[in-house]
Amino acid sequence: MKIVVAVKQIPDLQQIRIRDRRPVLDNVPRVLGDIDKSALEAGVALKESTEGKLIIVSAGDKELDDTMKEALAAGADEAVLIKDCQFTGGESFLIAKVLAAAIRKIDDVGLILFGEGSADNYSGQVVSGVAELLEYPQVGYANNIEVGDNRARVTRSLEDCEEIVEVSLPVIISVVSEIKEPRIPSVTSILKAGKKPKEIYGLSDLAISNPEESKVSVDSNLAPLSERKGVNVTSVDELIKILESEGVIGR
Amino acid sequence: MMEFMLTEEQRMLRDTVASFAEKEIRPIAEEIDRTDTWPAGMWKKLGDLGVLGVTIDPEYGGAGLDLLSGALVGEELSKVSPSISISFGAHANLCCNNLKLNGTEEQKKKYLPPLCAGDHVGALGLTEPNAGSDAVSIRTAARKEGDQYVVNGSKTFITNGVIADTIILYTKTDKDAGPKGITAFILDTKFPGFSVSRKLDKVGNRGSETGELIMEDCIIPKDNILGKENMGVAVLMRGLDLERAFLSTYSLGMAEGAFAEALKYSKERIQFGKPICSFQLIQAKLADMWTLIEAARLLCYKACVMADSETRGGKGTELHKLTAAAILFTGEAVDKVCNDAIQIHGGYGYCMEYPVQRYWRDAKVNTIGAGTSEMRRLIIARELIQ
Repeated sequence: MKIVVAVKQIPDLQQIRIRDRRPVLDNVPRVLGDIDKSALEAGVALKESTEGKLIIVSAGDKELDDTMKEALAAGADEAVLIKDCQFTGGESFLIAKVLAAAIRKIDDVGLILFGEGSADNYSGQVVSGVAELLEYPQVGYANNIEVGDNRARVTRSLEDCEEIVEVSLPVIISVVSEIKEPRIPSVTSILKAGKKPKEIYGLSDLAISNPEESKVSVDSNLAPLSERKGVNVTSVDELIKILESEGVIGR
Repeated sequence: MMEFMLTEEQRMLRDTVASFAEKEIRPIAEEIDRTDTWPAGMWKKLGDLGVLGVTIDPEYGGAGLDLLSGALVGEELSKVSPSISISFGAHANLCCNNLKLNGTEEQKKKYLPPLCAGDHVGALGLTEPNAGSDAVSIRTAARKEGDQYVVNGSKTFITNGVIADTIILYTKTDKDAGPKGITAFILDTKFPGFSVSRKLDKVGNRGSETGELIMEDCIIPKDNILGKENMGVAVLMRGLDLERAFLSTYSLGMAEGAFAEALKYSKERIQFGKPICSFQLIQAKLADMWTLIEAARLLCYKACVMADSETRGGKGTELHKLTAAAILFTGEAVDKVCNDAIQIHGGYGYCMEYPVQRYWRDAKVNTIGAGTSEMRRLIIARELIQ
């Protein structure tokens, strides 16, 4: 069985500066997002338990290869990359179309894993788009996955409870970052990464025509204004009462 | 940017060691220093990471990488804990790499795999109470008796000496022949007659357990000669240039660690209504520290790259001069950077609860160990004059 993990190359969020209330992305190094690393680690664990093969799929521009080596070093066996300059900041549905087309070319896929949202935009839209296009069931917020008998048993981490669902394969699962702590790749796995096979596609290889204008434009990306409450307290008991009434403590 | 000098694999290696250091070392760095104890399980963790045999061929369990790659590992470890880094350096370079360069096939097959895996710890035993800079005046004597040698003497300032399993030991097999009477051995610390007399209580690099060793009628089989009898100085000299190149980044990483603390503090500390990094005298210090680090980096990396591409080292070679210069410059740079880092912290820099003092204490050995600054200057000058 093949396990696919879809990952995204993003700018290193720690190195983004703000100018005129907009993020400056020029010359920011590209990395694999943390949640993708968790999804990868979950994929590696499933590959080991099912004796399957782990393939990473990613859409990006010409700088995609560097980050993908990191994913191969983390334990993936192969990489399928779709490269086109239009993917930088590409719209979710275009990416979903491209990933679905690339995944269709892989046979015997049992599981497709995504992080529940990418670390940069966190729209969480691509996974649903891919599921819809491939007509596979989708399970979200997974913090545990077991596979056997052509079925997956997934524990979903919801706000007030954990829900366990069983679903037949193939299935698309989006995972929460707590699912697995990513391991630190050893020197041997780093050295092997460069030699692992890579399949590279362009847009035309997937029979996807050049997309029309983007349907969604980002107008702004700012944190909400927060004003200080300016509440004065004269005793610890008073402070505790106020915090309790606001639901900050005592839940 | 220095990125032009590093391959993609080297960058990934550096990032992986940086992640490891943040996760496994930073949370315990102060405790290691305070208790002066090597953290349990750390050798095995470093072995599993694959860095202990970084320059050793894969057939012996190593990663088969170049000297610069090994030096990058030392640099990243040193940014977080110079103590861990210096012990790593003594193990991976002074011991393992010397075994790789000078060992027979049997010796390499026997000793390298457990060293690479982190099951054994390596060290180098050269310095003695009466022989520091004057290394060839060592007195530990090895007397041949049939198929073995009986060794008597003592060693001091031996990094990892307290817990080592495999020690490259330098002895005098012909005490009247000066440098031509030195023989190197592979000492298994289980050989009869070997003991550790004490652990030294050092000012810095605490946690890297430095020992005094005693050989009292210690029996070493003749198959454990490293190189050839009375040709130990060739083993020694060949190793020293590589050692200097490799360890220069231990100093570099330390300077980077101290600088990062100082920069962070200068942005947070408010005086006269502003962060102190707004003041020109602090800015000048930061600029000088950073520039010094970048200049040192160029020298260190160049020395490592040259050490890999040159087949010869020692007197009369460009390598001999450059590696001495790299470690001289970086060793003095880290001294200055750590001094300024404390200064920027002001009173808090003088308190044990802030990490910057640990770097400052660790820094002082950089102008002393692996050749003093004075010896390094003499080496360079002699190469220039001849």
